[in-house]
Amino acid sequence: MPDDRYPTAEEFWRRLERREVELDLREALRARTQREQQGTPRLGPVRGEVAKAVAARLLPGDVPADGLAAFLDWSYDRQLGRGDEADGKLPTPELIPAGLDVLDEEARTRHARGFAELDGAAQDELLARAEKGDLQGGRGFDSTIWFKRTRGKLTLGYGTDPRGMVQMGYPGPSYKPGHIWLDRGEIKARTKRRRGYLTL
Amino acid sequence: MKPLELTATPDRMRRYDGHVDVCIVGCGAGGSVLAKELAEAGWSVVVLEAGEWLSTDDDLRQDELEMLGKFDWDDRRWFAGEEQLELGHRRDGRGVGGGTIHYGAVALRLWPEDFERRTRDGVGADWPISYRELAPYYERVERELMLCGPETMPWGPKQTAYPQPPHQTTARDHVVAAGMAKLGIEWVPTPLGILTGAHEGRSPCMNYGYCQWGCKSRAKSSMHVSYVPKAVLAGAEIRTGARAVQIEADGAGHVTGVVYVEDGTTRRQTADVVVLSAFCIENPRLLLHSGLANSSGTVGKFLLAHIADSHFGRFADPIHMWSTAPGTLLSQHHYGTQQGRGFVGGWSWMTSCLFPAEFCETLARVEDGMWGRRFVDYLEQYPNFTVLGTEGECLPYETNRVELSDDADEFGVPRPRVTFDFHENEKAMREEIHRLGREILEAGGAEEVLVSDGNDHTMGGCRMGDDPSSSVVDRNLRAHDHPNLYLCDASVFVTPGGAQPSQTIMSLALRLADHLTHGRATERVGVAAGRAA
Repeated sequence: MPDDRYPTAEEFWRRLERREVELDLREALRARTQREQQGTPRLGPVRGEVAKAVAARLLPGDVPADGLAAFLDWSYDRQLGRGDEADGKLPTPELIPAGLDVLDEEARTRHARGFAELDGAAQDELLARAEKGDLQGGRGFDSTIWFKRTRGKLTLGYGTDPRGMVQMGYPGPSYKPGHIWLDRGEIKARTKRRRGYLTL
Repeated sequence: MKPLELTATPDRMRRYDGHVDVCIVGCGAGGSVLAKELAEAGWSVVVLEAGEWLSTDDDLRQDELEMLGKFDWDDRRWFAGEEQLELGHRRDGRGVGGGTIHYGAVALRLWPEDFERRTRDGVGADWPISYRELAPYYERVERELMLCGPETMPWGPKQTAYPQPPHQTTARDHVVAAGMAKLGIEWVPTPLGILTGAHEGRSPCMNYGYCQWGCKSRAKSSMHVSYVPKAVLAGAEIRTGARAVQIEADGAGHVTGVVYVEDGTTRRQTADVVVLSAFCIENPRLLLHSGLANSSGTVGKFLLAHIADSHFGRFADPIHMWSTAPGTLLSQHHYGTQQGRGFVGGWSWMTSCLFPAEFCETLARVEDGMWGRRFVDYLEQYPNFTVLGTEGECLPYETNRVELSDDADEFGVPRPRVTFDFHENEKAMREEIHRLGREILEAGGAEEVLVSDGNDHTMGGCRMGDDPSSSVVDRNLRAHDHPNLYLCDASVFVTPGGAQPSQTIMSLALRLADHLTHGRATERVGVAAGRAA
């Protein structure tokens, strides 16, 4: 963050401890900062490289591209709260790997190199075409839907990774005795059924 | 006093073996309230809930990823149409408490005009009941859930003061309020089902902010901490992990019970009365699959949703929108049909709170090209954003519908196919919403405003009406075709108004309970006798 009022990564963890955030949640958050170690075993090495390159172009932030690619590998066929699928189109668990293949094939057709080997401008051009629906795949493939679903998974990985939270200036989950915005006096007033005194 | 959630635990719950008075499918805002009322009236009650019973202390975490899918109905559903309905996460729930585990707890009454859209504006449809008939039940919900809110509402129907004082407004609200003040738009602290003082052992709000990922302080009046424990204490059984797959009826049209799957085993719960509270996609799906209640051909049709667009205002100073419950500022200045606007119906404004992952996802929808360095630059300014949301009315259209697809799920039930579009009226309203939303935020000092389209709150699909040829249930929520089958949730809505539906669902449930236990007790006896015969 450009503003020093927001915590650094070290301060982020110290604050979680101070706020007594549950240990299991703190551990889960820690684990997310090491996702890149998991690689992309389910997507495989070729798709994994494409996924990493896509992540680097879509979300060039503080969460490393290989961490986002690992999240995509873990999440691409998980519902994670959503089950809506476009009628007549490939459902997300099949769509995301298929789209990585389409992107790579298009790169090889047009540039004689895989997507991951292209320079940033060429990668962006292909991604913009995907977003517009211009990339063709097999039956039921829609590149706009692929783009949105893939970006959706990547932003989920980014926004739930403490490195992304810190970059966004978000201080992490609140916990007893309340959100960081409220001090103990305010909480005490509320538990005694008095109106809060603090105007934020 | 201990919270009731800790007293009325599943291990202390009464269990039924065999026939019961009523079997309710779904334990959300409708089913929970009804179960409590009927159990307290002495009925034997079994609620079949497809999801699990989440514990506030053990299962809820203040984290977007940890909570995804824990209480969302995220089974595969097929969608068609221009406006793909947003379902699943934070839309329709699964688990004891249903959608109220994740709802924002905004508690609003519909307005009288919402019940008379056809009569007043010549389009849409009228409800078979009036606002006046529902008003006493709205008031009961306000008292029973100890809703907090302003002393008076400057718009809409006259109502008594809320039992608890409102939540504090925050910087997120102050900038919007400043913009509204400049434009002469009135606002109030939003009425919420989130306690500002202790009640029945539940804590007042601690401003954790994660209301929509499950409230950790029990301040939010989710059904699993409010009506459900009371239902259990009164003798209702909440049977979790019980997925209803078919409603059965005899040759005379009496519904006999519900077939459900529990732990991989198919079981049958027979009952004198069956109530479907499985919401707006699953109710039509179950009825269509069971071949019931559809002599009108309207099961699944007239599906409704709100225009729920997000206006992102970026300010020079930090806003920290995450710091309190969402939706703490409300304006209904533009609610309902107003002359000279060129469209029917209106909307509510509400401030909102998006945590990092959801902020990323919603912001990405603003326009094509929202990715790369430009996108990350916006993300880095997350603390400086506020979000102004809407709940805009959508007219009922027969073409907005739920049907059965050719694709069956693991229980052998066809998956739903949902077709939904906003039409000219909604598109015109959306344009005006965007114009005014920008104006408000800019007047409040926003340096930049971005707008993202969205929708929210599925309603309708099994609407109520006096005419059996154009509706599924009657004014008492009883299926026109079956004397002992009722529906009790937002699927019976005829119009959506421009307000969150939960208080109307609960009020309809209270009214149905009154109907079943007092007003028409003799009919219930008649139903039972008919079934026996």
